[in-house]
Amino acid sequence: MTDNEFDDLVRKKLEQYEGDLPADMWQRITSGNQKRRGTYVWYRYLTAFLLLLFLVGVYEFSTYQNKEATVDKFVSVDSSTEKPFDTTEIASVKSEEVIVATQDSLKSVESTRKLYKQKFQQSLYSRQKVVQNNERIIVEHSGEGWIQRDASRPTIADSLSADTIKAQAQKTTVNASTTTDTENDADSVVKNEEHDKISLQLFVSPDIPFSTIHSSNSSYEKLLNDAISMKLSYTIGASIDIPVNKRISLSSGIQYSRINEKISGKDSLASSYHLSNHFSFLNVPLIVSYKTRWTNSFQTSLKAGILVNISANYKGKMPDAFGALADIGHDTYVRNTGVSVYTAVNFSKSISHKLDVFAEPYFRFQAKNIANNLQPFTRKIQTAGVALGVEFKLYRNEKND
Amino acid sequence: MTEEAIIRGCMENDPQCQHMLFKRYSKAVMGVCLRYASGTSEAEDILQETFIKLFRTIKQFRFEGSFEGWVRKITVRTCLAALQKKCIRFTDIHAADLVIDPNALHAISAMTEKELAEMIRQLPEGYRIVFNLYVIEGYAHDEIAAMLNIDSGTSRSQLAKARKILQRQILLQQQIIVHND
Repeated sequence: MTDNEFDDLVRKKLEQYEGDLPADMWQRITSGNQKRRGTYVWYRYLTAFLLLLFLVGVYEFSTYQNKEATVDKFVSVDSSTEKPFDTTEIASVKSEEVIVATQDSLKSVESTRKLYKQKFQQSLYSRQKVVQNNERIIVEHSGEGWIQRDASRPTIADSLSADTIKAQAQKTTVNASTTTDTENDADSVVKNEEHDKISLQLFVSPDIPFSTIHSSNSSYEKLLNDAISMKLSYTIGASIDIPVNKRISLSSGIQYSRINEKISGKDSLASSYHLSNHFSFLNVPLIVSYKTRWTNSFQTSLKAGILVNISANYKGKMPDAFGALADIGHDTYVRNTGVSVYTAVNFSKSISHKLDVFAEPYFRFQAKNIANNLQPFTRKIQTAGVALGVEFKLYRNEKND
Repeated sequence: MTEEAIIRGCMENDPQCQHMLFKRYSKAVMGVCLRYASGTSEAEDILQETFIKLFRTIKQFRFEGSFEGWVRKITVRTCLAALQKKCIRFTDIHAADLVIDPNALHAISAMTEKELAEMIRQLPEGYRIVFNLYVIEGYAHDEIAAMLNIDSGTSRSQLAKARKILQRQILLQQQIIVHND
């Protein structure tokens, strides 16, 4: 008997061999399918919930800080006396204050208009209208507008002159020596309070990806490493940056990353191939920043956080362990790449009081193996890039005159 | 319902079509799994993985060849992936212990498919996989070597020894049957 005869006989016997299955096999398969799908949906809901929780938390925290800072104090404006007036009080008052004014003090009110306007985004026009007949009255800003209030309420100060405002404002000015009038001083006071702004960041980043592939089958590992070369990729994104205090802020948004790679080699028929693969990742960043302001217009930030993957898609081909090219998809790589770690240094330059430009070198560390469990290899992709973008300052409680 | 209609239904994730496809191919897939796996429960796990994988990737089927062949290919790959996770051991049994008997050819004809499949399953893991890939699936030694990360010489020697062990086992069983009769 030759080997071939033996092989043929065995092949004929077993080629159509069928095995018996347990009765519940179909249920096991459908439950396995549902379990996988269920896990995926659950993961997405969890991510959305965490993002929502994060944003609500940031909002609540910033609101809480405002309430803490709210000062129920009375800022008096009266030119009849020269009682010192501390403009830092104006700077510290956030959402509620009372102004006591007489007709004689209108000049003082006018001279502080710029300061109040920039601080509270509120016109003093309504206050002037209620001052009548040289009568001492009180107007109050309660968050909904200026209203006249009970004059019997006590005040902590009684008078103020324009000169005093100017003198005191200079004390609180960053560049006291260069400021010559109250308006400039007021600008400086406002600049010191930039952490009150929410900002919108838009960026695009050229990325350089790095891929690491491991397999217990070393020849397949070598085949993949020889065949795959990473190419220039990119990330685009938008995020909202919400300050917690002057130095620390939290940001979140959405990022789309496209990773490109080239596949080249020879297939099982020794034909050469050169193909491009594209991986798309949609991530939600949750980032903490620590800012350092070097000058009025330049600041740096250290950033660290996580990117939570929402979805991952793959297009292209790659050689399988048999040497044949096979389509890649969610059979090859996972639907969700989980969480990656993000670290960056941000260099930001102010163009105007509402617009910054920034450059942000960063590194994205992918902790999870993106290859499907059924694949005989593991793969991780790390990314380095430089995000280039603009930051629009959005003012809270902004109102027009 | 035609096979093409069932496949197209599966491409649309139609549960009824998926069930029909399962009923049509599950026994054949189980047959392949039983040849590669070391036990029935392992074969069942691989079968489960195979169908989950099959339903996920069925959109990649281009109707350009036999669907049965495509299913078989996925099954074999799933078997290998599952076995490679455990690290396949290519043990070596001394060739001098093995006897080639020309009567094995006649003995094998008398065996049932199930008996033969069971006998293959009892081969050492490395022998079993190489034997299945070469004899049943028809892969060349170079291809097997690439798949399993071994030398083609190792593939050849594992196959030769698998054949000899099988032949000896077949004859042994034949002698037992004759003796009992």
